[in-house]
Amino acid sequence: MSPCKNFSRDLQDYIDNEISRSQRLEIEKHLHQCADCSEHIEELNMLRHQLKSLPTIKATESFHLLLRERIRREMAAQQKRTAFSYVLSHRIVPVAAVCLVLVTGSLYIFKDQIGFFQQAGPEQVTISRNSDAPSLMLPPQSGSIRYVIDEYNDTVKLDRTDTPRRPGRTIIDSIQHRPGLVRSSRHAAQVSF
Amino acid sequence: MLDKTNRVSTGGSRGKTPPDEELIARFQNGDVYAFELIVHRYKDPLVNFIYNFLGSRIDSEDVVQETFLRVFKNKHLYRDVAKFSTWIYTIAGNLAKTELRRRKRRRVFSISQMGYDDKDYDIPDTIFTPDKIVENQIKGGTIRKEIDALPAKFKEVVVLRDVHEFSYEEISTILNIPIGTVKSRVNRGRLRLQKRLKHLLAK
Repeated sequence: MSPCKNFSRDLQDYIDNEISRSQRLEIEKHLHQCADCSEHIEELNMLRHQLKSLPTIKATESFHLLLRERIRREMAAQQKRTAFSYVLSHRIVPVAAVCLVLVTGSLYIFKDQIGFFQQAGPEQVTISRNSDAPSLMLPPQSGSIRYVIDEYNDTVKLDRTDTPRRPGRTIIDSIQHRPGLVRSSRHAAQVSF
Repeated sequence: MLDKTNRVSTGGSRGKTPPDEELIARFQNGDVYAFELIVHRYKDPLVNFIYNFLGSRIDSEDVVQETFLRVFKNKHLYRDVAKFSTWIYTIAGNLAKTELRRRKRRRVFSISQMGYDDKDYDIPDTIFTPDKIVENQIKGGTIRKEIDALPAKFKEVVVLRDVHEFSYEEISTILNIPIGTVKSRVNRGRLRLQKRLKHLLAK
């Protein structure tokens, strides 16, 4: 049986108990008079009762156990991810360290050349050849120094020029010496191997 | 310490002590035992709820496990402004919808996509205890069939309203649709069921 059209929505509210007392009384009055609506409401009530008492499924016995395991796994994975992202977020540290090492290393390797081109004024030039570096003690001066290490004779040839920016252009002094204190007419140099 | 028998609930959270909101608050403060109580309280109702949409017990349990996992991981996202039950049902419902979408993408043939007549509905053995009479089994099975046959938008509201007994307002929160829409869908869903199940409902 279909309910009266005007009442369909009201009957729903009635079933759900979401109406005022006066509305309720009004509907109940109508239900007494209207067989269709009365039957309709009975069926709806029955339906709700059936739905409420529908057989239920229970989670399997192992549900809780599996859940704990799943959470444990997830948390472990999350910790791993957190640690990884921490490293990633702090990757600037190792990168900076590597850069520092590279720069220092290259400075160390090329320091002689660098020292050579920056010769305007330093009193000491260190010429490195592997680990045993010759050390040249030079007085303050301007100009450039070019050196050539003679690997076979264990000597160093020094050329001094007067123009710092154009080394080797005008050689004003040239010495070649072995380790030890070397004097020339213009300067003294300490060369050690 | 709570008596274990008080913690087991199959019929929703209402009327049980301690309240859900107290449990989640305790869990938010680091009490993992409170989380265990929540799981105890909600696992069966949620599996039932999700089962209505996925039709597979294994998939339903999987979704519910994922739900609890989300609650565990995101416990601080719960705010006291909403009821805990609506919060957890929202999470579960959304995960179920995601699962349904995934199935659609993979073109998995789901029983919920089958027509009424060719549906091979398999009632899990465990849903009935041996002492239940055969008539009840048939009745329950028929009603479940009809619920399954409902379009999803009617099914979700009817299940939430009449099986899980949420208020219209709570359903509106869970499904994120206006209360008016919830009401009209519940009404239409019930009328459909009523029409289909007339033979079971007559006195």
